Amino acid sequence: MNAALAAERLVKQFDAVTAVNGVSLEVRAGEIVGLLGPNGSGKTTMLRMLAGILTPTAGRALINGMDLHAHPLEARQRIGFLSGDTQLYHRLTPREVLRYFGRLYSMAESAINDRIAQLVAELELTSFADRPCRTLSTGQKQRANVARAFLHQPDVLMLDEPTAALDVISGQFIIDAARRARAAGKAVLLSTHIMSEAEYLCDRIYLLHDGGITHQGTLAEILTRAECANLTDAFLRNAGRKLSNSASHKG
Amino acid sequence: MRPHILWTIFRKELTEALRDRVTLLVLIGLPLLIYPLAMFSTLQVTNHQAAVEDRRVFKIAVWTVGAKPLVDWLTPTNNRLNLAPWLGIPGELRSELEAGRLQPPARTNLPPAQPNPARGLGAQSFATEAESEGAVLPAARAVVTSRQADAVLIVWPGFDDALKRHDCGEVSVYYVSVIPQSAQAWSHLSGQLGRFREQLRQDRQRDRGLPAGFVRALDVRDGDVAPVRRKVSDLLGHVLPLMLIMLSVVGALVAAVDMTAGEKDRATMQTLLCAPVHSLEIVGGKFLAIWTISLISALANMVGIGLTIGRVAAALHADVIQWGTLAATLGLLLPATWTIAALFLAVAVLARDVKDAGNFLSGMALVVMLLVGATLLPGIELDAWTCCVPLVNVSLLIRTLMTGEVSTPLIFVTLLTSLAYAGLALGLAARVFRHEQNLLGGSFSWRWLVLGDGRRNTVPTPGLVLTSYAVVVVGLFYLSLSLAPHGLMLTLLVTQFGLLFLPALALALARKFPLRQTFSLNRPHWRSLLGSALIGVSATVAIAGLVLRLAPPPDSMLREMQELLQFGDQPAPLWKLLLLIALTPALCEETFFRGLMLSGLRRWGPWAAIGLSALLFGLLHGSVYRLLPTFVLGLLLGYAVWKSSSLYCSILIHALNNGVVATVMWSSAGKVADVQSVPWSLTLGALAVTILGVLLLTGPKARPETTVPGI
Repeated sequence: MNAALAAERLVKQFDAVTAVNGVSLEVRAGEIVGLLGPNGSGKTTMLRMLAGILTPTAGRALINGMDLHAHPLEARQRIGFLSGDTQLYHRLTPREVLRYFGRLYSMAESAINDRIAQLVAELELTSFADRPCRTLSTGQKQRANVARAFLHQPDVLMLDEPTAALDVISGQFIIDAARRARAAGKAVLLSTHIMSEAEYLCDRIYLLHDGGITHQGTLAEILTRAECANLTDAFLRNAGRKLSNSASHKG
Repeated sequence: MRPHILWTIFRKELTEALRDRVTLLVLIGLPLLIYPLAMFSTLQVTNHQAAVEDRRVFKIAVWTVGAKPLVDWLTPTNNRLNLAPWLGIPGELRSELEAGRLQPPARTNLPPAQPNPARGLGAQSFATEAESEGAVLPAARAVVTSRQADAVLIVWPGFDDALKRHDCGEVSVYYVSVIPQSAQAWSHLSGQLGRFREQLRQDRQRDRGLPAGFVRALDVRDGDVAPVRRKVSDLLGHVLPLMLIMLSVVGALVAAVDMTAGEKDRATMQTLLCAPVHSLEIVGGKFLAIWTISLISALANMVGIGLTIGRVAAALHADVIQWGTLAATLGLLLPATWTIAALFLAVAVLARDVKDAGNFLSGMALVVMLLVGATLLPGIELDAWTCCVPLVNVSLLIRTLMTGEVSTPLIFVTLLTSLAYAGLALGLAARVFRHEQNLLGGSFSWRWLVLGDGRRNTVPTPGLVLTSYAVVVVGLFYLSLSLAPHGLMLTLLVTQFGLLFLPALALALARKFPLRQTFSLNRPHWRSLLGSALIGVSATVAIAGLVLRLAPPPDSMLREMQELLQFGDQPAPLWKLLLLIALTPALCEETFFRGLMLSGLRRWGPWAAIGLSALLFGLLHGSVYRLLPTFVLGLLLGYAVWKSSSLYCSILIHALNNGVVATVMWSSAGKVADVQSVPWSLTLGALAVTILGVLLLTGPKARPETTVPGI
C-alpha cells in the first residue's frame, strides 16, 4: 500500500546548521505515527517541511504520491497542520476563522456550513464559536484550531506537539480527535514530548536525534531494540542521557 | 492568481482591521472631527485677534524738539497712537538731540523691501539702514525690546526749518520686526506719516498754484483679477496633495504593520502558509486590504476637508469649490494610495516584528513626505521627468488638476508609472514572502533576496515577469528622456535592445531557463506561417479601420508619427525605417512580451496570459491613443504564439504589421494618412484576411512535444 505521507531523504540547512539530515519516513492511511525527539532534534523543522511551510534543502516530501514541491497547492489541499503554538485571529470568531480557511481550501459555501456545524458539535465549540478568539482560553483556542486543521477533511494530519500547554481535559480532546481521524482512514503524524501519549496512541514511532532517525518501528520493536522497559527510557537512551533508573534496564 | 482566494484574504484582512476600534478612530473618526474643529477654532481665534487688533493702541516714543505740525497731525487722527514724548531716551542722547547736534543717518541706495508711503518725508527704514546710527539705534532698540513703546519716532533736528523752506524734513521710525505688535505699530505709523506727507505735497502745490497731481504725476492702480475660485484652487493644489498623501501614509502604515509583522507576532502566519495559497495571492490580498484602508483614510480626510471648506464658503457666500475637480482628485487617490500601499507592504514584510516594522515604516514615511514636500519648491511642475517619480507625479498631477492645467499624456504616464512602481513593490513583497525564515520570525537575508535559495524554477514565474515589466517601464521612460537629445535612432536601438531583448535573454540565461521552451523557439508549421503572414499584412488596416474610428488620435500625435519618419529635415530612406520601426521592435518586443512574459504568465491560463501580456504591451507604448490598437495587436500576437507554439510567427506578424505602416507612410512622402478615411470596403476586406490568418493558426502545432505544461 502506498504511503499517504512519505519523506525521502529530507535535508534542511539553515546557513551552517543542518537541522534535518537525510530523514526518510512514511505514514500510511489509518495509522498514527509518532515523531519523538528532544528539543532541537529537528521535529518541528521536519513537520514544517512536510506541511510545505519550509522548503527542503534536499530530498522530497510526497503526499499521496504527489511531490509537495512540484505541486504545492494540490498537495497542501490534502494536509491538515496543527501545532501547539499556533494562534487564531484575535478579532475573528472561531466560526469566522473556519469559514475563512474553508474558502482558502476552495470548499463550497454549503460544504463549509455543513462542516462547521459538524465540527462545532463534535468538538463542543458551541459555547464559544461566536466569540472573538482573543476572549478564548488556551484550551478553547486549541479546540478551535483542531477544527480548523480538520475542516477540509485532509488525508494527512500533522500534529506538532498539539497538547503542549493544555490541561488534561483539553489534551484529551486532541487525542480523541486524532483517534477519530485514524478510524476515518487518515494518516496522522504526531510529534510529541509526552511519552505516555505516544505509547498508547501511536502505531509506529520514529525517534529523532540531531536531525537523524535513530530508531523506528512499533513500540514493542523499539523497546526490544533499545533494551528498555518503557519509551521514556528508550527516549533518554536515544538522547544519549544516562538512564534514570538502572533497575529498569533489561538483562 | 485565483480571484476568489484574493477576495477571501482581502475580506478577512479588512474585517479584522475594521474591527479594531483604535484603527477606526484614527482613520475615520479623527479626520471627520479634526478639520471642522480646527477650522472652527482657527476662525474663532482669527476673529478674536482681528477684534483685538482693531482696538489696539500703539505706544510711540517720540523723540523730537519742535515738529509741532507733525505731532499735531499724528495726535488727533485717531485714538490708536499714544504718543509719549521723550519716553525711554537716555539723558545724554536727549541733550544731543535738543542741542541739534545729532544728524539723521546717511541714506543708502538699497531699495525698500516694500512700498513705503512715508518715504517722501525722509523716514528711515530701521532694519537695513540704522545699523550705523551710533547711540540712537541701541537706545531705540532698548525701548522697543523692553516693551516701553511699540516704536520710536525721531524727528531729526532741522525738521521745522526744512518744512518752512519747502525742503524735505527727515524723521526715523525704529521698530523691531520680530515683535508683531512693533511691526503693526510701524505699519500704522507709516500710514499716518504717508498721509501727512501727502498733505504737505498738496499744500505746497496749492501755494504755488500747481495742479493736484503735479508731484505725483502718475497714478498707478493695480488689481488682482484672479477669481477667488482660482486662488482657492491654487492654494488647495499646493496643500491638498501633501495632506492627502500624508494621511494615506498614516492609514497604510497602521494596516501594513498589522497585517505583516503583526501576524508574525500573533503566530498566525504559519497557519496561512500551510494553506493551499500562492505567496502572490497572500501578498495580493493583503495589498488590496492595505490599499483599501489607505484609501478609506484619505477619503475620510477628503470628506472632512471638503465639508469644512464648503461650510466656510457657504458662510462667506463664496462659490469657491469646484466639486468636479474634487471628484477627480478622489480618482487620483487611487494611484497615490496603491503606490503607498505596495511600498509599505514590501517594507513591512521585511520586518521581524511589530517594533521593527514601525521603525522601518516611520523611516519610509519620512522619505515619502520629503518627496511630496519637494513638490512645493518653486519651479517643480509636472513634466516628462517628474511624471515618472513615484508619488511626486501624483502629487503634481493633483495640483495641475486643481489649477486646470492638466495634460492627458502626462496623466497616462503618471498612472502607468504608478502602476509600475506598485508592481515592483508587490513583486518585492511576494519575493520576501517566500523567504520562509523571515515569515516565521527569523532574520531576513538580503543575500537570499538577491540570489535566492539555489532552487530554480524551470520556467519564468508570473512574479518574475511582472517585476521585469515594471523595471522595463520605469527604465524606458527615463532612458527615452535621457537619450532624446541624441536622436531617435539611438533612442530606439538602445531602448529596444537594452531594455527588452538583451535583458530578457540575460534573465533566461542567468536563471537557467530552457531557452527553447521559455521563448517558444519552435519551427512553425507552414499553415501557421502563412496565417501569420496574412495577419501581418492585414491587421494594421483592419485595426486602423475599426479601432481608430472609435478613438481617433489627436493631430499632435499624428505630427509626432510624421516626425518619427523623418530623421532630421529629410525623410528617412525606407530601409532605415524598416530596420528601426519594423524589424527591431518585432525582434525585441516579441522576445520580451510573447517570449518571456507569455511564458511566465502561462500558469494563469492561456486567456489570462494572452490578455494580460497584450494589455501590458499596449501600456508600454506610452500613449492613451495607442493603447487600444496596440492592445488588439497584442492579442493577435499572443494568440499566434499560443496556437503555433512558435515565437517566429509573432515576430513575422509584428514585422509585417509595422512594415506595412512604415511603407505606407513613407510612400505618402511623410504625410500621415487620415486614418478615418480607410474605406469600409478596405477595412472589411482586411478584416476578412486577418480572420483567415487566425483560422489558419488553428492548425496543428509544429512541435507538439515542446508544449509548455499548463496550457
